[in-house]
Amino acid sequence: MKFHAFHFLPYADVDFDFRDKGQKTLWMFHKHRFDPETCADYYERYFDELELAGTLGYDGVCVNEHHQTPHSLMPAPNIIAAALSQRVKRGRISILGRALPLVPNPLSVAEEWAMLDNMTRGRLNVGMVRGIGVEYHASNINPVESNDRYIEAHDLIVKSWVEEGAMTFQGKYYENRHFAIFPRTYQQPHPPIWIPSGGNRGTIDWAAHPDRRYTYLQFFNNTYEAVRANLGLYKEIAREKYGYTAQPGQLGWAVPTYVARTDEEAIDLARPHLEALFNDFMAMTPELLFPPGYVPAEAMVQIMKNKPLGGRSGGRTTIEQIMAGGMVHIGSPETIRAKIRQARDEIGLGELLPMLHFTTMSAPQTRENIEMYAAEVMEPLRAEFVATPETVTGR
Amino acid sequence: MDYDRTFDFGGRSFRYWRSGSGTPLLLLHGAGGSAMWEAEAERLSATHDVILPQHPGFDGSRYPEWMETVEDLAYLYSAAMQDWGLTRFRLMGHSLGGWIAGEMAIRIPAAIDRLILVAAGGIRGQGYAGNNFIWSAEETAAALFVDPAMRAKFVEPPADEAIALRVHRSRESTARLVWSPRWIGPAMNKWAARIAMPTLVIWGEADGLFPASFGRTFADRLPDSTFVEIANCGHVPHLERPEPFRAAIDPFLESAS
Repeated sequence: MKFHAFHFLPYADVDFDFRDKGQKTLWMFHKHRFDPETCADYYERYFDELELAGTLGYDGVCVNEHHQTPHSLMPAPNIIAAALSQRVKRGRISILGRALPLVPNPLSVAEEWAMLDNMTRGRLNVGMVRGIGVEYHASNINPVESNDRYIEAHDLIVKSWVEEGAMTFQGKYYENRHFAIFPRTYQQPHPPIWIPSGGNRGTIDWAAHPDRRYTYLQFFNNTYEAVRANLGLYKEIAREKYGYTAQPGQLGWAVPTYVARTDEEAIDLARPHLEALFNDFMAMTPELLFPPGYVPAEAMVQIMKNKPLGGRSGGRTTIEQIMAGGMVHIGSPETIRAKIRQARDEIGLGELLPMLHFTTMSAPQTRENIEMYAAEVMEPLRAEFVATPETVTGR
Repeated sequence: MDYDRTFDFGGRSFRYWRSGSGTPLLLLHGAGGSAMWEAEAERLSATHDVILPQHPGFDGSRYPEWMETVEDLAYLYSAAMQDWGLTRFRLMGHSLGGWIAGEMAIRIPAAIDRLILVAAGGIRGQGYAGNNFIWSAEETAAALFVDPAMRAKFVEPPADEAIALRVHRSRESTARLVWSPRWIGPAMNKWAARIAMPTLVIWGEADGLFPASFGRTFADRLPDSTFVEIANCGHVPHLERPEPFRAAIDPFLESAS
């Protein structure tokens, strides 16, 4: 089991009464205050927190990409990864991920990742994502083309890494008549590729294909059972359709995590920050989150029927409701260790990504969370797991 | 209304309704689907040979892979002329259908003897078209209609899953065609002068999707056009203000070619 510290780098000093001010969400519609000193302080503080994770022996640190929102100060995650390459001197640095269809020329991503791979001496993991729906509004890339652009951009990037000499790529969306990127990647044939996703079957099948065997990363879902089912589907497709056994390193899960001395204390401390995550920072209108064609029309019918995203029409979601689904790890070290053990036993999970800071958590709180998790969750479990290496079992 | 006739193109069949006799009139519906035009099609079939196709990707069908731009639909209907036995015809298009009509008029002007553009897309005007893909149902209704009753009807949730699926498919097809540049035909402003046949440009003065100024810009670029702005009217004049709409189109269609 590998432990990677995940961070969203939010600009947390937001106006929480944004709805009362007629603002739909914290995405794209913001017109709230922005203080550059505060923003600069956040960057510095968050780099300190990830550096701390590196020194405490986490297997890696992770960043990702979001646009036009205080939810994440990382519209360009490669820049963050470059800064981290000079701060975090051991463990992996994972970009989970870059939204490939939003980039005009994917070769620039291939080049930047090759640079980062060398700058970290081969400690880079790269995630390839489509970007969430709202980002198609923000970038004006046609959401109907999202899947095809994604696959094509992936093919172009991997080709630029694995083939030798001058190459040509003629796709529908991207055309490069003559290219041979330099520097080449440090890792051969290329950095490990991760596919963060919310459970789309087509994505899981594509990631599991024997030509790829990419790490499928389940981002926090509605329930633990959904996480288990999606990772189970990866294993099943690998076994039944492609005739191989998926390895633990192909199965990942990103989990909002808060550890404290007791379950009660953890819930009390995490409550405002976790509730802000689900009710405020991630709140979205259906039109923003699901632009036309981003998911098939058949799926849209079901999504709109369930109306899960109406913001606060149904009242605020409480930490108890969030915890009931099992998709967050909030509690004492013992409680969290048990949950991780369960995921390891039931799923064969090999890559765990605790998100140890979210929304409005203070610097001392975050530091304590990162430290206690390392000392009382990660280290004891490592010792415990040495005797029984992960194996992929069950469905 | 039965769309029981079909024409074939590229190995696929496309449905249309045809009725009446007289001068042929091709009616191209907007992104809201063919149903919005059925009453008007029936009415006009008393004096015209009316053809009302259902665009591929709308009214429940899936779009064919080749349907990537509005120009593709202009070519599709230009090709269908042979199936329909048309050499010269009148053409009326609304919104997305108006954009298709404009593209056809640029490409085959000699075949079109009179053209009516109703709140048509495709033209680049001052400012921007409304961002319909980001709007809630309520915001969309407010942009499309002035009349509170029509707004209220518009925001009613789909009656069943089949209708909901049709709505989402139409939305996806629309996005495929108009997302970028948003609601603008790259060739339209440049080549609009080729649309030299008598043309009637009709717009609701309170159109919240395509501002009425877009209509004036469109009309200004056409050599032989009349611009009619309808008061107290949104994006769908034939439904919201049928009397002034008919008062504008009927004399225009009755004129000799």
